[in-house]
Amino acid sequence: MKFKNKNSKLFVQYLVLILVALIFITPIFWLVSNSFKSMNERLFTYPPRLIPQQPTLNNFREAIDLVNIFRSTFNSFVIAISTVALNLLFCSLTAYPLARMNFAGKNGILILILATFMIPTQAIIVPLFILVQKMGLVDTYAAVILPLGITAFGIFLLRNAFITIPGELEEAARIDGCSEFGIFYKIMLPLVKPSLAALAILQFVTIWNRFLWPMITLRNVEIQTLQIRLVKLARGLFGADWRVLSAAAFMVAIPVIIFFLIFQKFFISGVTEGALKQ
Amino acid sequence: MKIMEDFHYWKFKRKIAPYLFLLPGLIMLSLFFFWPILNTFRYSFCKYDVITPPVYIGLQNYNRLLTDQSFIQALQNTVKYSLIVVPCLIVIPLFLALLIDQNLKYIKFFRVLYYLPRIMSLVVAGVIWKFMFQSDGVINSLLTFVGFGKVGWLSSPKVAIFSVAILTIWIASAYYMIIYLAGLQSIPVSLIESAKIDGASKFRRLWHIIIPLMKPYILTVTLVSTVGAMRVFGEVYILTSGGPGGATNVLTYFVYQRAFSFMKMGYASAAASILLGILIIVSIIYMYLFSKGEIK
Repeated sequence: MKFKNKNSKLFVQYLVLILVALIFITPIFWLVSNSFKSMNERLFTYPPRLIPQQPTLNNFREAIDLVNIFRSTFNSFVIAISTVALNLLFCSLTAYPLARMNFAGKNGILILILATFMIPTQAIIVPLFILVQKMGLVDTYAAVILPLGITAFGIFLLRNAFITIPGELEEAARIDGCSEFGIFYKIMLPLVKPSLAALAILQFVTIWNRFLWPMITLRNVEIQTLQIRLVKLARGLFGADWRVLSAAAFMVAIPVIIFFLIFQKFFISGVTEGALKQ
Repeated sequence: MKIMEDFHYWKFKRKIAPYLFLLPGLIMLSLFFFWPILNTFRYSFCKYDVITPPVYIGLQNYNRLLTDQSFIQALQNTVKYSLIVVPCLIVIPLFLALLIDQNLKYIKFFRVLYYLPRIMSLVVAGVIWKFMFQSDGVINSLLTFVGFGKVGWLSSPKVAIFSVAILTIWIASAYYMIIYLAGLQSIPVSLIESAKIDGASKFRRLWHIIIPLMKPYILTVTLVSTVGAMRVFGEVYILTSGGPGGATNVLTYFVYQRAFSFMKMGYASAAASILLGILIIVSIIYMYLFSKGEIK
């Protein structure tokens, strides 16, 4: 009797989990399904059909051209990698003294950095654009890379990592005559490698997915990222068919999904490490 | 003597070292963050079309904003959207976190599935839902199938803001779910177990033990999702372009249009200053609670 109860409880638990999962993934399946539907098949059928009748790759061929996929993937890649590199550099330099040194004004600086969490690009976009324009950076990779080159998220994530390192290591190195920068570079930085990796992985996807700021600063088609090309397609600037649009969106999504599946543990733990644990 | 000199030099170096470390980061933050904040306020008192230099016009931009129907509508829509999204993002992710916190086989697999929408870009998610929200789209098709009428998801001024909110909730839930999950996992198992032994029902355990202990996380989610709601842009830009008839025009979209479609940088800055003002108030509350340890 007891056994039977336990089984039915398990059944309900999994049933709920699966039903909720369907809400999250059915829309994704729907996108994938439509991207394979041929032009002969009606999209707006009643009831809807999940499995394509005559699967085809034609939509992808058309999408590759419309999105200029090779060029825009390359652009996205350059921007994401460079931004990640800048973040590793600037965030670790900034986080280190905030974690391991005592100095006047430390709390004030911490609060200022915390404030940047709350103010999005959207709210300062006008002067930021004017600044980038005055610097002559419009239509260059630097226009996107530089303003995103340091983030409060990265600073707090690395600060938490630096804080946990025991003090003896540092003292020993100092007695051996190691300079402050030497201690940072040769001793501390290697010890926070896992957090640097987590930051790089999380930032890569965040930057890869951004579209508003890149869209405003990159007007030249040759330098535009995948997301910009996709958003223009989605807003109907080229009058693309839904099947082609779905194929394009699927192609834009797939590398990120694979990247996520490989590194998923960083995402599920990383969110909390940066922002939340002080 | 040499030793003393070395000592002073060493002390000096230790004193300025932190500032040297901070310098590059602070320059970056000042240039691309604090300076633009100040300039937002500065430009808001000017007439500025980018081509000619800004001209000081006092409070004119603000006066015009107050009588600009489309701005008032954007402000109202932002509030309306926040009132829909924030409560949903407080409750739904908590429910999701409770689901994926269960000690079951394959639970990690479900965590990954629930996180998937969050990983895709806003643009991809926008494409998916724009298609589903079409008047002959799959959602209406299913609704007719079960006997309901069609809904103008993107074409009805009353419904469109809910459609924008649904997209946000679909994408953002996983993020807050992970915050809650961290909270749930910090609750000692013994506490829950002893309540179980005392015969407390599942609902009572949730209401009397879990929720009170989760208070800091609930506060965090409330504040972060409020800020998130104030800055919504992508969902609107992709799904509705602010339409129909301005029904989904929000503050950020208003700023974007004035600045980059009409080149009214001063006017856009005045609207952005109001957005900034709201965000700064929320940040101050956040930092106050943070410093008191009320939130994580």
